[in-house]
Amino acid sequence: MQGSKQFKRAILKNLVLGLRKRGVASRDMSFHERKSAVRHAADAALAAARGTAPCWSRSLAAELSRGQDAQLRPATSASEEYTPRKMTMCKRISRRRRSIRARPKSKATAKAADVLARVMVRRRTRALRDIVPGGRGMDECTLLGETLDYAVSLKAQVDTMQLLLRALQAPKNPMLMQQ
Amino acid sequence: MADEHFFPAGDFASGLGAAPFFGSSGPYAPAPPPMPLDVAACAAAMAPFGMMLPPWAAELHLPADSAAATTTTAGHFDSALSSLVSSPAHASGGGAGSDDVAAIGDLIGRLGSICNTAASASNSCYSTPLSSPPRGTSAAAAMAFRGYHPGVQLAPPLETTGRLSRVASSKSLGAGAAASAPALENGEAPETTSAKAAGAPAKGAARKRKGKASSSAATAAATNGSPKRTKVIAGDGEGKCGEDAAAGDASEEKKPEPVKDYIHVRARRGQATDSHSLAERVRREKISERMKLLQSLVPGCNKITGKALMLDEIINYVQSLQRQVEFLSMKLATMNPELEVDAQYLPSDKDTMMHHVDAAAFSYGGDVFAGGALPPTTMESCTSTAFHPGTSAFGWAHDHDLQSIVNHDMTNGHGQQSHHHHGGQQQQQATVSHMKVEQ
Repeated sequence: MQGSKQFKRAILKNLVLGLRKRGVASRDMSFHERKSAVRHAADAALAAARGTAPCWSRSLAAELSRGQDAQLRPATSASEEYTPRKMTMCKRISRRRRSIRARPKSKATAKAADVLARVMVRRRTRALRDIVPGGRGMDECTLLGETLDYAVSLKAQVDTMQLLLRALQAPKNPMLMQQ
Repeated sequence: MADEHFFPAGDFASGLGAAPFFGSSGPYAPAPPPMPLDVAACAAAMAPFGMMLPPWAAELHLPADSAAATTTTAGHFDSALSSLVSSPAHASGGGAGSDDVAAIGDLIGRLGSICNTAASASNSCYSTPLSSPPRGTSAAAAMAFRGYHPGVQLAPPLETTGRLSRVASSKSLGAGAAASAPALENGEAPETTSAKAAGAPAKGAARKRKGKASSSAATAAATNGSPKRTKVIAGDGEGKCGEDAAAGDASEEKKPEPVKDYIHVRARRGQATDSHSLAERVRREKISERMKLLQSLVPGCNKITGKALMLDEIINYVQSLQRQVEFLSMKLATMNPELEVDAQYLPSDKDTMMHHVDAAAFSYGGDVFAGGALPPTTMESCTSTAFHPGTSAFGWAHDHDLQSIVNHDMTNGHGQQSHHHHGGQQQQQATVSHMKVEQ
């Protein structure tokens, strides 16, 4: 557990630093811009805290810097490409799966089922590649390893951000007033 | 929570950033590495990879100026990290050095005192409780860093146990550094796979860590020479790799400790022996091993058999986490004003400011939990118990600035916003606790 605490602290510090730096130029026009700036800060904090050892971390940093450049011109895709494409892909996968489920298995169709299973796995692997940053260039084995690492790091990031939110939203402590 | 023991063993940069790079050369040499240094080092470290962090991230260098700027001019990886290594040694040695380092070391020390574990004050968070990190490993560390440069094959004192070797890792534990590097397969990206492979067996082994802290402590202490991931998990993981290796031995006939770049695999009895099927089998086992790790990570996947379904769950889990990040960043964006206030404090003492804000964050967290309004997540409950001594330790000495921030926060945050946040937060809390329940 020690490791995760340190990691979360790293994320928190990077995040606070990043948000503060970003806050310097904070006359953002809209809420969306602020939100995407905060998300970029959070992702950069995560990538920086995680270091450059895992592949996803490097790819994430690269994407962020690319997205930052793209943001200077009015490009919307950089920030929003995250969710919609992958969600549609996964919806497609689950829809397909539902339609196949009722297939009977006999000896003749066993091989077909085998092929089908492989197809399903391959589809999901593709979806996973889209989700994990930098997943394109990896073989399946490293992809799984990266996914594991990425999932753990994401969880730490979520926890850290929740902690930060709670800290910022804390009701004013009467103790403070005395100082 | 299941994922807690999967913690990316020591790969992250809080000066830890160096940890995977250190390899077996030494325990995670920097005791309490200053955080901003790490960020700077990471920014510097990432620069050679041809990426630029967002422009504002360049300013992440700033707090580390005095300590790291001397060497991080070109942003060279090894120089940055070696400066990291040397400066914390410096800082922890006497608390001397520049103001930066002293202040940050101070902060780290406090953070260390927050931690529950009873370890030395400045070292608790950053070193395994078992090992006392020697300080003079900067040379070895620098050497290890150079080995990490992308495209370069790993230099020997790298921690990695190679892609496959559960067995190899157990042996390398005893053997120390030398065995690690040759364990790599040919043509694989050195850092990621090695760190990953080292991570994976460590993680898999770390699964059992929870119940067996003491025994693993003993084994880890014994095997401390090698891969220093500086995390308790790493230490335990390495110790546990021995157990895994024993199991691995039974299932896979012995993999002699690789001393070259090849992984030696022996065919099992009654199985095809041509190279293709062997390689195929090795690959399949790697994949299934990782799938098992993922299965224990993702909540509610114990009963799911089959690769496709498992991958489905994994995808859903990662997507839900990403959505959570989106949601939280949206909420953070709405309450940004108090962070923006810091702009006026920027010209002055950045580091103490940062450490104020952190103090605020942690102590507020403690207050909130003390209020008991929200059901704490497991991690936060751990930290919350630590916060109470923490808050008293801080003493609120530095909080004039903080108060104004708080005032701003309250004035801006009140009204409809706070109400909305509260509702949103409850929902968020519900999702989190729901996820926990699922396990």
